[in-house]
Amino acid sequence: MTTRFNLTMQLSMAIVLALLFQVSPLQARIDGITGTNFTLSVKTGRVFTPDGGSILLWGYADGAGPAQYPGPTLIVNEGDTITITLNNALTVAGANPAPNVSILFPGQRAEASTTDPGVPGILTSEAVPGGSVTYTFIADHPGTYLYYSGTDPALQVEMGLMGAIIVRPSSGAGFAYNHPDTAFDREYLFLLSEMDPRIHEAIEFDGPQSTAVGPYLANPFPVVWFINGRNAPDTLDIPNLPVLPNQPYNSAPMMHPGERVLLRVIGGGRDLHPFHHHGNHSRIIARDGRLLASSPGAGPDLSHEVFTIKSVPGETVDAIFEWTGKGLGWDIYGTPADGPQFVHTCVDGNGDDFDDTTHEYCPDHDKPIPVVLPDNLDLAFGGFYSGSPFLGTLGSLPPGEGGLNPHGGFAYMWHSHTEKELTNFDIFPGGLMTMLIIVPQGASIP
Amino acid sequence: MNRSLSATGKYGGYLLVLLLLLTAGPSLAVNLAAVERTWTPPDGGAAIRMWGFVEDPGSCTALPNSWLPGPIQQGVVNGTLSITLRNCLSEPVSLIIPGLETNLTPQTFVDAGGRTRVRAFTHEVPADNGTTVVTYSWNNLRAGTYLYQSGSHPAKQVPMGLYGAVTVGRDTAAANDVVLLFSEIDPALHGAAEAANAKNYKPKYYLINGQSALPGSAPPVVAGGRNQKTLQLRFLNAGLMTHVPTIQGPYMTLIAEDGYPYPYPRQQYSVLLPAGKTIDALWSPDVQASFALYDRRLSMTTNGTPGGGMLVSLNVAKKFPWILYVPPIIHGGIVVP
Amino acid sequence: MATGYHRIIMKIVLTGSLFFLGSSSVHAGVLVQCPGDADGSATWTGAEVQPAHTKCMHLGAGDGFVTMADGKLQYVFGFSDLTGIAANTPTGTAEILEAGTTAAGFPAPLIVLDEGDEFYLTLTNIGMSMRPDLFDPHTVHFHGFPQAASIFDGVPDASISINMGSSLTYYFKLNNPGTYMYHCHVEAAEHMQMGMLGSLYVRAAQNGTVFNYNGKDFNKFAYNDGDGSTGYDLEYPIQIGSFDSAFHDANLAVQPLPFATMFDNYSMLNGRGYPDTVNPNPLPPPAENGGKLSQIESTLITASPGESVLLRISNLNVTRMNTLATLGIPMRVIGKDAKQLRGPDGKNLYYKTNSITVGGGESYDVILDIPAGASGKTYFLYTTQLHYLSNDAEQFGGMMTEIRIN
Repeated sequence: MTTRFNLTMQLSMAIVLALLFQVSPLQARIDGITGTNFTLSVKTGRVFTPDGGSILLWGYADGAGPAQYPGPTLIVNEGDTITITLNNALTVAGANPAPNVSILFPGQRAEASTTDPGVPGILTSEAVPGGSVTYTFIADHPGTYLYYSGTDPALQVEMGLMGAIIVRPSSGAGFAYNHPDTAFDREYLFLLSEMDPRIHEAIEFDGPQSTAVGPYLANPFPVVWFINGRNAPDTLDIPNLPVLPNQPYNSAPMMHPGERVLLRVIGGGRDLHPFHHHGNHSRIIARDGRLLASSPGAGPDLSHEVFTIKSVPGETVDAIFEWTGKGLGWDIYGTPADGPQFVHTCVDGNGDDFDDTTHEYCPDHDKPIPVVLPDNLDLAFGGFYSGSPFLGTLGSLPPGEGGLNPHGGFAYMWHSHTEKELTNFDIFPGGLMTMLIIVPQGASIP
Repeated sequence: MNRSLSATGKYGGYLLVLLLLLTAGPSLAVNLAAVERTWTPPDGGAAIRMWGFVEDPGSCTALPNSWLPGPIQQGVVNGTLSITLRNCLSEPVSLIIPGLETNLTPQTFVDAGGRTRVRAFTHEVPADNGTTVVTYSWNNLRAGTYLYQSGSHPAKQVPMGLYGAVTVGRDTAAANDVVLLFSEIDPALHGAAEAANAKNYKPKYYLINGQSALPGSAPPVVAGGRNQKTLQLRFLNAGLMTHVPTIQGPYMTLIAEDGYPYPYPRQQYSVLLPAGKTIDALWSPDVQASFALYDRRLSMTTNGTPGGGMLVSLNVAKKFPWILYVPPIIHGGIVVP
Repeated sequence: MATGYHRIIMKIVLTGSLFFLGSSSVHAGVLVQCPGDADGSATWTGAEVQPAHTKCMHLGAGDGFVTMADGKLQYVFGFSDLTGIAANTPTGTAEILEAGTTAAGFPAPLIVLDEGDEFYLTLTNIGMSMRPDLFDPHTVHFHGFPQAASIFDGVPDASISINMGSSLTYYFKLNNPGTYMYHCHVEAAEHMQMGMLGSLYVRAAQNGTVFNYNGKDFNKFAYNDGDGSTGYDLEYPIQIGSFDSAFHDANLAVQPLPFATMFDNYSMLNGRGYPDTVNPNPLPPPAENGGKLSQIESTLITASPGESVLLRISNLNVTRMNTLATLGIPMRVIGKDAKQLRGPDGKNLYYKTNSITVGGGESYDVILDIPAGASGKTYFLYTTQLHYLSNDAEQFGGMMTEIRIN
């Protein structure tokens, strides 16, 4: 018997309010900082977990801002020369000085500047405590990348020093790469990671010279897991929550039927995670920022479809996800037999089998749901259940049930299929998990 | 026809070319012995009891002491590899090459419940203080990179150190090649190997080519071919954990796994290298420099101290060896003037 | 005529909380829904007529015991196959509860479907006979089902799950062949660690036609390949999994469940560790099950020279990824996650290898082409994570089986 943990109760009402009233005309974009010149600082912070605990963080901060887990997502344009100045503002417990810090940019040919070269380290140039180092690279390939500490990475990446880089192609912001087959309507970041709090506790109390940390670093045993620096259910809350000052990014994907959603999946920690996205297959079009193409210009002709993305530490995956409910064998918008309010048409003017507006799959139009659902007394309900099997419909639920799905959307869990990773310490559910909500056309998406 | 790992690593392509020239026939017949040795950690820790393959000294006396992965065996495409094995250990051993097909003659025992179990994947060399030698052969060798390892009680004998690399041929695009063999050591299993149980495997030392980088020191150097010349990187994982070799800065072209070419090459800066896997990659360095190569699973510790473990410096030599030139040093793809 | 946008908005406004779904449903306890089947047996007997392209199945969700290869008795949650028992009769509920009690199988009953089928899957929550303090609901998640509807996706947070003593019938129209899997998604880290998972695959519509590939005729195919390149002669489901016996023991003893320290010590294929994997028969049932079989599936792979053997490999392990290797014969990987490995414009991405690394929730389709001269040979399928070649502390066991050539 699991410790019962009511997902509904955990979620702040803010989510529901955000879903109901946000009317931003902008399509969902990945949160981050843009430009060509960035100043990052390494600082301490706290990673707050949904059980009420917190973990010491070493994070990259945007200039004078707070440390972030993950570090600020750097969003840049193909062809730009990117300059990143790293300040070492890290403080540690004990009499020993703070360690040097640095950044590695896998897949980029980064160089230390001649004017702010830092000091040589084993893997890259480093910033001494109170000092700085400046790196430059040319973002010559579009795609999804990451950055992380190159100083004692086994410790410093664990402590939180990693983040995402997105290089937008010259084709424009609606494309992942320079090919029409990489066009998308929405995009979401899934930066996956984990922590072994024993390491953080040892560093917090003894400083980086901790002798207690050795066995944990040799054989880490994580017990908390993250998407974009948050554990479920905090993943679903709004970005930039004051109560999560060091974890500004959320993970709350939403879409309409028929849209193309780009998933940028990054292995930011040390472990592999099988990222299972309920609802449909996705098509993997790129890995490590390179299109899966048989030759330059061929487009993603070596792409393939999966229902679980094998996320490898230090690697990135770009995948396109689509959903229409095609071929279910029943009308997901209900039929007249379900009530007069379900009378609707399916207008396929362009001959693609789908309604031109709602993307309803017309061959299944007005086909009844083939089984009778049990009475409410026989059922247990989820917080994301609308009370109805039909898209865009809110059904009646017993008091206290449902409530997280105000548009009557279809909800799908997106999560690590190493199910142990759906816990926060000992508590299920949590961890590396979020929910995709597919809402009908017309329902706004923040 | 074989050389120790360190020799090949140091002189890279020259030796290989020389060996290929000397190996006129399609057959490679070598003599190995399975012996007990020790491995001394770089951090000053106590020497660890290991089992390893060495060039056969002809008897079980006067054995070499310091453990390394077994000597690299360089087979010839379409040729035959024959390894004659002497056993200086206290229990039977055998040899398998997981990526190459051959006749297996499994060795079994009957447990207390009357169930027959395989204890060795193929025929064994008895533990008779080196008296008996047994020959293992593989025909019609496919080009590629392979592990050879013990096929007897593999859960114990492989982590004890009974493994090495086999290379067959070289990609036509490559001018040089280099072996990068990943493995681990859990000292807790090595004190009394006969009683060892890998169930709670927790390695403390993470190695590339038998070496664990020492935190705070320059990483071990691996010959990385020459500038402007294509290098074939041969990744092997003889450990029990998954590793993700990552080269800092440039991309590699992954061309084959377990000796089977991919239908289409893959451009990556990283390699998913699970236990027992081999991957071949091509890389054409465009600068004479050294490049960090490390495990992105962050097995970059030496007995728990960060900054070591699975980390090497891949040194690219100058394009023309006879021209005097002082190379820049590259830290993670960053040129330090 | 309203536009789609207006329709939807009106729908939201009109229905709001007014529409009462319960008005069209029934409180019926155990109830099997299967077209053409009058008595709720999920089969068609006597005068009952099976509609074309229709399959039914009745699963029970409950608990029971299995035996690890070192002899340890292991408490499990799991699914049982109740198909064939007339559930919709005056005595049906009692018979179903009787048959489903301590009947959990590990892995769950194999589900084999055909592309084009309509599949009516009834799940009855039997309850936990050894844990009467539990009132856990259950679901079936058809893992990987393309274009899924959330109501039949089995995620308790996103839709509905079934309470004890009642039944829920799922409906799936199978448009896509491939190797899937299924499991309970309620408190997934617990229910799956406890054993509520199994293999599920959908055979291709192309079956029955003949394609010649590499000089050999095939009439069975993993996918609708159009060229016979996924053709096979024999197929074997391989469910990768492992148990943490401390977690199971704590569950049986009504103790707090150790999620954070979960560390599996029994590695298995199809619910057994070696050498039980090569036992061709069901394992003898533990006495605690009242004689009900709980480990039916063997993983002994037998074939004849020249045959092509399709391994339908899936992993529902909840603690780690697993690397599964062949020794002596290569794997030809032709599918992943219920999709043929083929690019959008038809480029084959098949590759040969000696091992695949399978995370939880991933599946692979692998063909072993047995050489003509292989008569009498034995190959191996085993994990190269060699420390998992044990049944807890017992060596020469764990995640391994044999491929014996006649």
